[in-house]
Amino acid sequence: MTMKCAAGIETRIVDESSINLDPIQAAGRLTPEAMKAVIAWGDGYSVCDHCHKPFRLDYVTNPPIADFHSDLSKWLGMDQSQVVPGARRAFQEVTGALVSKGEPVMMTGMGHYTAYLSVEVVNGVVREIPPTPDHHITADTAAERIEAVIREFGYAPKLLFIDAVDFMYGNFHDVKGVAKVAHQYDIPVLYNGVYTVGVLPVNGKDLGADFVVGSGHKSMAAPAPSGVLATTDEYADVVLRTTKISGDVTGRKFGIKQVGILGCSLMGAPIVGLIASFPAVKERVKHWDEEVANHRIVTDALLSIEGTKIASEFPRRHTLTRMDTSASFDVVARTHKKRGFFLSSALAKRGITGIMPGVTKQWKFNTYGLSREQVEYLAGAFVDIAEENGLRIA
Amino acid sequence: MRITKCRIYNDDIMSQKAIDAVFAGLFYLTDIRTILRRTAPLHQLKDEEKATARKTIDAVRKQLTVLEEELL
Repeated sequence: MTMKCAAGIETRIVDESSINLDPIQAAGRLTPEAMKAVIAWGDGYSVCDHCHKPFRLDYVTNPPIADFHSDLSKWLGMDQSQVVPGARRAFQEVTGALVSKGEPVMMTGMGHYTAYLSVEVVNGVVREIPPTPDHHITADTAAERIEAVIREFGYAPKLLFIDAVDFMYGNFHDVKGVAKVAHQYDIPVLYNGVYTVGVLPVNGKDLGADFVVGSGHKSMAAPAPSGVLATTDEYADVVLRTTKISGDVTGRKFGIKQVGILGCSLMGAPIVGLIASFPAVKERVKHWDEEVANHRIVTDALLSIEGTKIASEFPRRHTLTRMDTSASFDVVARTHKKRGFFLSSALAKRGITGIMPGVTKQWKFNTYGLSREQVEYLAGAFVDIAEENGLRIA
Repeated sequence: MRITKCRIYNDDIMSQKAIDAVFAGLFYLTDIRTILRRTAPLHQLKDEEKATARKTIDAVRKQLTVLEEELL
């Protein structure tokens, strides 16, 4: 019988029972510190126990939310920061402050859908920077597209989104080059670091970013929804502005609540989890090279299977990779009684999960946070499955 | 109307030890959960991991003893 947390809710044991390769889950797994903090602080408004004047989340000192904000800004090489319920809310906060109806925003053609929606919600217009045939965003293409937007609208885009590492291929993009071009047109740059902030070192100002966005639940070992937005003093006045509204009858005013995120943004489990994991997160970014080395053990094993290719840039620089097994595992799937489900099924038998069931042509996986023993086991499992199904190993 | 007579909130009626033991127990169990995650899917622990697990399991037992003493 499956253990249950509550009526109709199974106890989730994915990461206790298996090696989990889900590309979006790997770096969001909680640290033990976050798990403990969530146990103690999971109640709804728990972090408001010690909320005193001026009654704003980032002024709370117990738990140390105020210190977290200042540490976070320094750590990201920016001036000011804010916690948000997910990176998407940071996108929305920035577009809400900088983009008006009908105004253009530059987006990379490999951006997350929520970035597009953050433009749509303010009735802005998206104009894309197309990726190169090898799936990269370059400064040259960005410059061409900015010029095209100026010809079309008569003025420069109001904002430019650039993904440090995209979710489709796990490729690195020329953030510095694109930001340099954007700044030549006075376009503010939003660095989307959902696959970098929390796993590798990021310094926003060095990169030329006006905004750095990170995801707590994707890459900072925090519960969902959580994320961070960091910016410069120049843009903080606009994007992190405080309320000035008052009721026309009652005259009510709302202190120094921040408008763009509708006041206090992140409470309970997400914020304490984010803070509790932060020391471990700051430490782990220093070991990114070890994570990539572990990842390469798995990609090397996969590449040893005849017909297997890597669809992402190569050599790999990130732990999220898109594989192309259309000439190996997909060939097996054509005649296997389980069809395309043979691969996920064979992996499950070996205690491995997280790859989309039924997919054998192109699929993504992420090894972030796995131990050396686990990646060696994983590498062996892929080779074993290939051999079991008659594929040749180099 | 039925009401309960209030008492002054002090050490006599509040078992700080029991509260501490509950959280300490949960935290130690969380450490064991971490070992399970780190060694999935085979859960074949190395000698040093076994030693850590042994120490942690003992610590959980201690908390249970405190709870028995405080609450039962």
